[in-house]
Amino acid sequence: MKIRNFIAVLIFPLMFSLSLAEAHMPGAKPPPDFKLKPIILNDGGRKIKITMEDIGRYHNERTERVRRKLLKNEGKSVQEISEIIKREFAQADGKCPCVCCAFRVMLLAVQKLWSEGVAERSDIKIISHLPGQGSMQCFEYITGSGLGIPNVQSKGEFSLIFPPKDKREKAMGDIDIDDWSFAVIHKSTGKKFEVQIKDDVFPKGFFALRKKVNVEKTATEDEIDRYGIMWEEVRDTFLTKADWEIFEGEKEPFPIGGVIFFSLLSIGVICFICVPKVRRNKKSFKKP
Amino acid sequence: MDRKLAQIYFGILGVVSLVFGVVNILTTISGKSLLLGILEIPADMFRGGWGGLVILSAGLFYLSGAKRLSEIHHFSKVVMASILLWLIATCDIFAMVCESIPGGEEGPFFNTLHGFFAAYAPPYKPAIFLLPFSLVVIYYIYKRRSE
Amino acid sequence: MRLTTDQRWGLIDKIAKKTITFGKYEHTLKDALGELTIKPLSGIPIAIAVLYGFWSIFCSFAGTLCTDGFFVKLFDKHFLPWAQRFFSQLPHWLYYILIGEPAADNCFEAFGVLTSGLFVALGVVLPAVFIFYLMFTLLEDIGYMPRLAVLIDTVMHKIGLHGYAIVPTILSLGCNVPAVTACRILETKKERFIMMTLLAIFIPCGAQLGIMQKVIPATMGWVLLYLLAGYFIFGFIMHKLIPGRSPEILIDVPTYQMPTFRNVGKKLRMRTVCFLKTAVPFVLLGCAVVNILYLVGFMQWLSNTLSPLFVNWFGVPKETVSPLIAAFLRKDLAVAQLSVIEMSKYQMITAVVLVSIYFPCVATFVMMFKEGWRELLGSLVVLGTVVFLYGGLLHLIWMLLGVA
Repeated sequence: MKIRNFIAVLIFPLMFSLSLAEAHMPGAKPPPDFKLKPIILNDGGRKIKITMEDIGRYHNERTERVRRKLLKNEGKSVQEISEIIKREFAQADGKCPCVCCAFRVMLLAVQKLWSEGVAERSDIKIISHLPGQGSMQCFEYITGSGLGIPNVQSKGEFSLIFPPKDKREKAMGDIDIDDWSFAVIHKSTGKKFEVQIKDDVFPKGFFALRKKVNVEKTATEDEIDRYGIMWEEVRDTFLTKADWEIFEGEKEPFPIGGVIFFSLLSIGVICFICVPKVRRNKKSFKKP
Repeated sequence: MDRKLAQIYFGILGVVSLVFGVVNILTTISGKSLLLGILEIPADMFRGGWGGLVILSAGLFYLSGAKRLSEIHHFSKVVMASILLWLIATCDIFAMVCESIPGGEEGPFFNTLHGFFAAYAPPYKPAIFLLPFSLVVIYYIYKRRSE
Repeated sequence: MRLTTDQRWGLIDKIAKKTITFGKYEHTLKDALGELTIKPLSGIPIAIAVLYGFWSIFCSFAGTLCTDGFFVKLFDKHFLPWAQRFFSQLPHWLYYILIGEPAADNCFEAFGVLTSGLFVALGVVLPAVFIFYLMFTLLEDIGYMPRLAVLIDTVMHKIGLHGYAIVPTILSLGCNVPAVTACRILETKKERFIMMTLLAIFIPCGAQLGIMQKVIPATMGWVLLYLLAGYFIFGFIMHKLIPGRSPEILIDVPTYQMPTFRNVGKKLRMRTVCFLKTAVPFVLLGCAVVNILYLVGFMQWLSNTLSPLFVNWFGVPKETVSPLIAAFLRKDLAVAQLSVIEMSKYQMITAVVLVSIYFPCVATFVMMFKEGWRELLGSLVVLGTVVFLYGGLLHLIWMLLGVA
């Protein structure tokens, strides 16, 4: 067995278990109302719609499965496992920041690369630098390459670029802003869309606090609460903000609505000031 | 005929204002703002609750005055209702103007052109939608004066 | 020829019949609108709308545009670094008094005479006072104030005043100093005493409103509500306890008219200049005195001495003692000092209410002294009682709600 594969085998489950804490945040407030269109793909001749809810559900199921396995390995009984799962996943909807981010990336990529027509599932290749279970499972669901996805007719490609050897400890859950970069390739044409998440999507101190809470496990109660608030903030940003507020290189659209309103307002103010003056001048002109 | 038309017009405007006012107050009580396309119904105590109360009063004034527009006291109620709507709309627009001029916490002193126009972008509060419809009363004031 | 009274009246009737024509007066739109603003059923919603407009424009102009939009950047990014560099060679104690905390990165938290003093006076209070006086002058000149006085007359009678007491009340929202002077329009000593005491205790001035809006925007509504409730409750109590008359209102209600630029400009200039001449020197002096008291350790001693009262009776942290002492010199600076102390939302409401009612600022104190030392003494006795009772009552309410 090659060393690289051995390390991958060793790192993968560790990353999995560590990022579980990230993926799942018990006690988190439900997300706000959001309007995200579904991703429409062609899967072996039939059109499919992938919504945020579908991916959230899928991510939830896989996380629950892994958690059951881990609890079983710890020696817990079936009843104990059921109770723990019920308690931890009571209000989980699977919409963690990684999942939401990955979904937004795909929405933008499909818009950019397949602006005319519907994307073929088998024509999609995704390269991610983010070793988070949420984003990985989202990309797996979209490409059809993940476990337990129903009715898959064709498959795309998904690969995770591991951090280089000297920064291997990053893979142990210690991620930073550089890892939130992705590339989506339109295989048949070779067109590539690369995107990096903006720095200010994450509140100040987010990654350092995340390391303390999820990796080092040295956070105080206060810090855990603070991290929970930041986690919700990041998730809500990915669900509700515009593309230009999330992704580097996306330009804010020109506010046409604002221009129209301002013009109407200016015309109204000018009429309000000038029309009475004109009427007064007309009246005084008419008088003999 | 014209008078009948005016009665119907201000009656409908009164009902719409009343509905907006009630929705404003209910939204404030619920604590969650409503976004319907380019219409935004705020949920804060000041613009939502207090402003909603004023819009509701305007609606009641319109409905009370639209019954007999020929009579000066009823017509004055319609004019007052319009004045109340102009007041709320002016305050909302003034707030937009005040937000559009400075460049923000981290930005320059004065806003960029992009930022300036973005301050006037939708969504808008209910009083701004009602503003153009309430201006019709000016025509009736001039008409009454000439009569 | 001497006429009898009856003959005289007969002659008057004859002359009047030949010279006077009687007709039917038709109400114009202006008259009808004027009537609407006076009748309670329509007048009260209109008054609520006018207050909404007043408040909205005040917050947008003073808060969003002037203070947050320009003055914060001007003072924090340009003036403060320059001042910290320019005065860096001064001895430590003088630097502390003039510039404040060496590590401060914004004028608001530096608490120096030239930093916080100038920022609060020019950057926060001046725009607030300017826009307040502009709107007040417009309302006055349009002719709305007498109508508001008539509308509110019945309510004001319950607290021993009449409707025209609304003028010093609203003026007090700009600055207490001219409001104290405006109390002279009230006829009796009892009314003047009640008005002066109430506005010194329960009406926050424009400076405080500006700072409250910046520091505690979310809870400001609650603070003002408590102050309003206190205004009426203690006004009622004073009306029952203080002997004297409270006469009826008798004012001329003019028709509505367009205000002229010249009049509005004159009044605005006069009131703003008066405020600048009176208030700004007191802000700077207050800042300097408070810093000296901190340096000599007097504040710390006072804080330790009075902490049992503040912690147990009022339910606020003992660190609020220093801002309360500072409140005598400048209430707005005191609110700014409170904002940096760690406390819960309910403690903050109590602390800000205490700062508002605790003592009139030194400028108001001097003005009240000019009106009469006996009245001032009486006001101070009432003030002490009110602070003790009202502050304790607030703490009791929080305890009953389970949040203290």
